[in-house]
Amino acid sequence: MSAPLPTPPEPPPVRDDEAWERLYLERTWAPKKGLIGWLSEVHHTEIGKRYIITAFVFFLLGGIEALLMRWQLSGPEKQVMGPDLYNQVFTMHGSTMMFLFAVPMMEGVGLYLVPLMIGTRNAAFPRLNAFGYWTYLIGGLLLYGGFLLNVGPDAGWFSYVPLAGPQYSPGKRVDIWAQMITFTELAGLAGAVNLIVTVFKHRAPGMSLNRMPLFVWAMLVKSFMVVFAMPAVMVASTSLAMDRLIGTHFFNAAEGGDALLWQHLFWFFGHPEVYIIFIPALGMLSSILAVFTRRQVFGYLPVVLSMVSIGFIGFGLWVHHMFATGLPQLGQSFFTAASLMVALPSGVQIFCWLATLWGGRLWLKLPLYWVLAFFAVFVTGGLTGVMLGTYSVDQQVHDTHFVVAHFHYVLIGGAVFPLFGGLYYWFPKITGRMLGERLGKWNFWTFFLGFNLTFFPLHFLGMMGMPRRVYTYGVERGWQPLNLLATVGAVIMAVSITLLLVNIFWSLKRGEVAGNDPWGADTLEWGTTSPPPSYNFLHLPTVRGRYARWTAAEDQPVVTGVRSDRKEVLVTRLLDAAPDHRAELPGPTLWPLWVALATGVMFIMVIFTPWGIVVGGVLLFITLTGWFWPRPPYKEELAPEQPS
Amino acid sequence: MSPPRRTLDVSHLPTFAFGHRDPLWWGVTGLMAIESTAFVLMLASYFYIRGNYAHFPPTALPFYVKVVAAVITGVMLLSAVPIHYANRAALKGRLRGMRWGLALGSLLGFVVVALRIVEFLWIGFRWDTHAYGSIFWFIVGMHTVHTLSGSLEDLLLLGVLFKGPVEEKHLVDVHTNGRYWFFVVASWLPIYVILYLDPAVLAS
Amino acid sequence: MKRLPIVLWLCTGCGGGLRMLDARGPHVERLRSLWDLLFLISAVVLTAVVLAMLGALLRRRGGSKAQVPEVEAHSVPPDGAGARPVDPARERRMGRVVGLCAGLTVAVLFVITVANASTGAALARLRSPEALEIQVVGHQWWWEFRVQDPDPSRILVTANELHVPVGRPVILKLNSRDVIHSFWVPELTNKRDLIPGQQNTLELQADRPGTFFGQCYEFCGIQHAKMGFVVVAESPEQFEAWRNHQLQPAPQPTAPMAQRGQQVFLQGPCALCHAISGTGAAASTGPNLTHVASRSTLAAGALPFDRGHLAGWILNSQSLKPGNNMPALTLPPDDLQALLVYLESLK
Repeated sequence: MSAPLPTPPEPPPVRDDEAWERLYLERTWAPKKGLIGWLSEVHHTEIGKRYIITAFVFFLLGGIEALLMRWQLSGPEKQVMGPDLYNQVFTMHGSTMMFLFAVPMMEGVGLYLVPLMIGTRNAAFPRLNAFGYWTYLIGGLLLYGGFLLNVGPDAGWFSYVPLAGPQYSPGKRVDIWAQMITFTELAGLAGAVNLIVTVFKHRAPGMSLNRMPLFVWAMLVKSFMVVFAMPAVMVASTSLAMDRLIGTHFFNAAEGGDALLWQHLFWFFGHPEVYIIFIPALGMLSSILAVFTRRQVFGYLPVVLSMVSIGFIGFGLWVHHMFATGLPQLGQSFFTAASLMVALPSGVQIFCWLATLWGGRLWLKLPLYWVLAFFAVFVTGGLTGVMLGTYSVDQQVHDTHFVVAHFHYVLIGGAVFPLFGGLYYWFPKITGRMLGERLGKWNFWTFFLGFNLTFFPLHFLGMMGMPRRVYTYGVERGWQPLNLLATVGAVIMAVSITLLLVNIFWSLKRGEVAGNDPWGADTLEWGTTSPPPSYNFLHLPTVRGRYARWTAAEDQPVVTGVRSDRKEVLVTRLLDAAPDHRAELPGPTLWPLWVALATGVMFIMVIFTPWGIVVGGVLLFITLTGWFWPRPPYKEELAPEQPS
Repeated sequence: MSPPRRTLDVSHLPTFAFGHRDPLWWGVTGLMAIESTAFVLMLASYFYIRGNYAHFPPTALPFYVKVVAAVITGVMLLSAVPIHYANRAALKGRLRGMRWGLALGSLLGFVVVALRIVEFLWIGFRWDTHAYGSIFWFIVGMHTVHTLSGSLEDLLLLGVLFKGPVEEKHLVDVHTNGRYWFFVVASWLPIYVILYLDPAVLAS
Repeated sequence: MKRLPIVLWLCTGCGGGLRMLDARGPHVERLRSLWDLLFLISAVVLTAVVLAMLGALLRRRGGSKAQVPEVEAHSVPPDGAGARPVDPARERRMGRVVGLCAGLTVAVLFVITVANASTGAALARLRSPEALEIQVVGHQWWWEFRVQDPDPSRILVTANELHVPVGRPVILKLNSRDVIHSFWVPELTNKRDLIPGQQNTLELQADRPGTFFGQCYEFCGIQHAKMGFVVVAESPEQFEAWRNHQLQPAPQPTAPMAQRGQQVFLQGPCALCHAISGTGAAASTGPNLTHVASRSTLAAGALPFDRGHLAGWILNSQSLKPGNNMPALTLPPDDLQALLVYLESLK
């Protein structure tokens, strides 16, 4: 009845000789060479680095756009640019910072660090990882290509309809925006699923869920939020694209559609998006705090529960972005209460971190500088957030520069400050060299000063009535002095970022060599070389406590018996991380790139013709077949050269 | 570096596992979570748009279309049987069972797609007729894309099984694929109930 | 109300006032008290957090890589080399403080929720059946105001300048002809969107006479920045006089120059978009110009109303407010002069 199956493979070779082991691992995990090799890379450290570098480039571009806006607004009726260009620039700035910098940056840091931190050799789905990066890159290039050709989107980063609809935004500008969203969300979803499964199934033996580093928890919560938030914006952007391209009426009130439906769908994604950016930063902050206070973070359980509950509550308060749309009374009260509720877990986390500071001995290195600044900056943003979440107050400051001030305090304070702390902290791991201290201090102080000088005055401008997204204002409004101050602050921030760039390039060449663990840190990534080898760890580690390296016994066991002549990793159980089975991961391949390009052809071509669906669909089927087609069976094993 | 004293030897562990022990199982679960969220949001949009109509639906569903949709639902449910059979065969490592199950399942999937084309030809309104038409075509169209891609995936796996050599991990692939097909079938049911069995739509 | 010193300093020091706090009516006064409460809470919390952080920074320095880290007692490695146990007594103390702070947070959030709800209720109580109803219609990029009246012949249509009587509640019915706009006069109201296909309402009441500037707050396209309007609060008598005057058709020009100007207006492209009651020009694409010369601004608050700006606006509106919907006109100088005289006569 049933056909016979091939016999199971030989038991894998177990080698106790370390030099042999290393040789085998190096041969097995070595990336391919040349351009083709570069394009077919699937290792998580390499993909993570590409995400980080690309996102940083977009951060610089978004920053340049911010400077242009600040220049334009530095005085009344300035003519640096006209309204058409200005509207493109602020839309580009918002879209870049949210979709091309913040989310991919956090994703990249997670993809780089999580597999190392949980002690495995690669992410669970290496090819999906590569696919995610290529789609993200295509999305970014599409947006900036459009901008350079003067078809940059100009309806704001949340593209409210009907303004963004076919009638009031003819041309291709908003289409490019909508497709960019689709690309980056695809990438975000690919990364999120990858991180979830990697965390669930590839943790080192002994790293039960309640021993996971807080950073890993943060990435896990963030990834779950991505899974449930990003479909909303994909549904929204697809509907918008269809309204514009094939004449559907989702948002056309005249034909039964509804303009507010867009806002609901967008903010159902858009509010969680803020936490998607900010929760990973909390993870970085927790990592840094433990190492530089030389103690565990106070209240592991409350901090984890806070992150999880922020993740849940984050989905229940999107309507506070729509308080001015004239909601029924009940909705106002409910969403005010929900918005305020999120202050509780955020507060608990802040209190736990402050307790950590008080319970430890502060080692005042640069990563800690950024974390300490976070407390002042982020809490300011959080408190204005409470104001904005309160219906009656939001009724006043909504859509003024007060809001601009608020979300820059939250996002720069809550995400960029910890991110820069993380940069100073993990740079040695990623590059093998320390970032310079002196330049680092200049970088920190100028950034802190410039940031507050830029954004604090905006609170007052909002209260003076200055709307957001205006390309100019009349002299009689009296908004000039504070605007000028803000522009001066922006220039100082630009100087600061320049110092950071100088520091990075200088340190890459001349920086002090870091060694495996320059900070005496607790997480597993510091147990391997800096930068980590292509197989991450010579021996997969085991864990016996929350702070893996601090709590490791002198003779902490290592995992043996995972084949080193194939890309094999250990799969462990979800809750207790007990060894379950060994799985082989795929190696370098060009298929993810082809699939990403097919996706690109489809979504870019549909901007111009519905045939894009057909052409793209066929290309996708072909490339996906290539992706899923099984590798040829193994031939005879070749032994590597004898180690000398 | 001195060799570590203690080791945790895992060489005796298997190289594949079914169900939630398998990372791919979680990956596909993630995919299903994403798509379920998308379908839920599309259905929520449907209700939102429905609220804008004093008289709903603006265009009645023709009787033939209701019949075709019922047949589609039946074929959909039926297709789960061979796929279930293929899954059982995968667990036991029976190659022929997997082949037959996948072939039949994929065939029924294509029947659903063909019937859907008939339905769309008869339906009497287009995506650009009104917002009801937009959301209707969107939801049903998206589900058809899933049906089509699921059926194509069956074909692809069938190709792998025929070409060989078949390794254990391909059994896991068949099982995972089957589970995804169950999701496609299951996600159709709420769509069918909401879009077609709604009293207002039925009465129209 | 009590104005905090920093606020005072900023008001006087930087030109423009913090208009949102400068309540000129009962609505904003209410909102102002809620604002004060939240501002106070925020100031206290921020100060406390920063002090706690600085306190730790000053008192708990001296860590280094060499310092053995502290972890929970049960996870200290068996040989005790990598870490040492935290002091359980201190952890308990800190736990109590953290718990207390969390409790305080809940209490404060509760206070805010109640204050918000009571503000909402207070604002609702200000609603009055005798309110003067004014319809506000948003257009890209100007405002249409229609002062309602039970007698249809007494419905007043004007643009970009709204007069309201002091001391009388006004209810605004908001709607949009194209995209979403948002209405706010910081001293007088809270903010509400104008959404096509939906009618929103907003109440306002001015307690003292004055002139206030409002503008659009929801990004609405290329000239969002220059979509302003003026609200003039005046005594009920002055208001009635204004209303009666505005209700009258435009005066028939008597001077030959103005008569010629009227011809230019009616026969040229102007009348395709604008209305002047009493002349037959009744288009509603652009602002109603029946009493345009009675307004203080041009082009939705973008320019002052005077002959120079008027001429510039007619000839070259695209360079003064790029992207707006008024096409550039080429008129012979004589026609332009006549048109200007005529428009200036529309008091």
